Amino acid sequence: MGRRFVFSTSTELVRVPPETLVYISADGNYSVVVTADGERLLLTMQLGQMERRIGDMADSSEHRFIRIGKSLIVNRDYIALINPVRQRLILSDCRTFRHEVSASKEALKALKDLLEKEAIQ
Amino acid sequence: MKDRHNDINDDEIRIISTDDPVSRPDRKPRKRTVAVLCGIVSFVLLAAVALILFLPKVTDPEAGTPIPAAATLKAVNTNPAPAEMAPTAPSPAYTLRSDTAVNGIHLTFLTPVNATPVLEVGNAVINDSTPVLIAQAADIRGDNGEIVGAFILKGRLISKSEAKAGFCSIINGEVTLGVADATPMFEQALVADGYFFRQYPLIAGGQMVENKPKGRSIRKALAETDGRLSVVISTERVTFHDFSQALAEAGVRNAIYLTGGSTYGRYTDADGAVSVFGHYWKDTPNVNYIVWR
Repeated sequence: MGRRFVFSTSTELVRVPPETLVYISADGNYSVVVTADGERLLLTMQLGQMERRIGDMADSSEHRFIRIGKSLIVNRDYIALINPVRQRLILSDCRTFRHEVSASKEALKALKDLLEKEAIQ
Repeated sequence: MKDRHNDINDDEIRIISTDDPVSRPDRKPRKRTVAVLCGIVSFVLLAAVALILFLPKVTDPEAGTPIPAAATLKAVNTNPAPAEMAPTAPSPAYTLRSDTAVNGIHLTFLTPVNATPVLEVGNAVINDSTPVLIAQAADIRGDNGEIVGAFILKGRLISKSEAKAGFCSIINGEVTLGVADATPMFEQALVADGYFFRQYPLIAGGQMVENKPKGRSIRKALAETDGRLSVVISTERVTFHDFSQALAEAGVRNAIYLTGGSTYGRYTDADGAVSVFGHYWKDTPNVNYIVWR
């Protein structure tokens, strides 16, 4: 079995393979982890703490996760559509699941530019 | 110190990785920061010691205390009977009713005695004769029927989100009313099979908390006065502001709102007489009550 991200709070422990983590959204002082099997896990951690944990656990070559604004962390592998004008971001494996999330126009424009540059390189 | 992981605007993005400058800040600035922080902490400690040594002592520790910005916690016991009334054998539970008027606003205080509260979801409690006091607790959304704000039922989280800053936790029979966006009572309720719900804060530390809704309605509150917990009901339609002001002037130290209007409630007095107020909502699966037995 491969490596897993571990998020631990005083009440529970969540272990998620990085490749199955689709996105994490902020819900007040809590975070909702959405995985590829459709599970939505509520964790009593702020999104900033989740980001720090991911930064600590990620491989040095891993740049899979992107923080978008104050409320979202997404797995870039599942980005299927970015529409800054309509503020739409669709995360999907193009087979079994599809999640639509929202972010600011500016952040989505920056995300689009980033992925475009990487595609050219 | 500001958490740099929260230091991001809504129009920004950043890649999360081990070499992320946010996750791995340069060492030199960090050392400088630590040195500066040590200096500040030392200064603050010295100042605190000097204040403790040289300031005159205050006789009333609560005099002039402002409403804490982050959290107000108040543990409340479960209303034992007055000492002169308490025999050695277990006493029956009942509800003590008292009426008062403050600034023209009539308030009814329903104080359970020898009873412990729990939260219950659904209307099954309506047909249960054992409770001595029932009042509707957390609000229900009109559009999808979900409970507004975090709600824990016997250690099980059945609703999340933080729509309102006021909270009530019931852990091992002990009630805590408070005002906080995040509170350890939430996690404790999960761990200890307790109960937790959120509502508008009305009174914190004896002082009013302003709320946005401006309309008039029959208002209800879960209130703590001198360590005793009561359900308080306004007999007329009043604003949040007037209700909170009346509670404060009636001596309430901490209070959060309970679903108001004509919502269902019931109490049983010391003679066993049952009084019902309001009416219950049918076909609302998430209707919830705070129930004393």
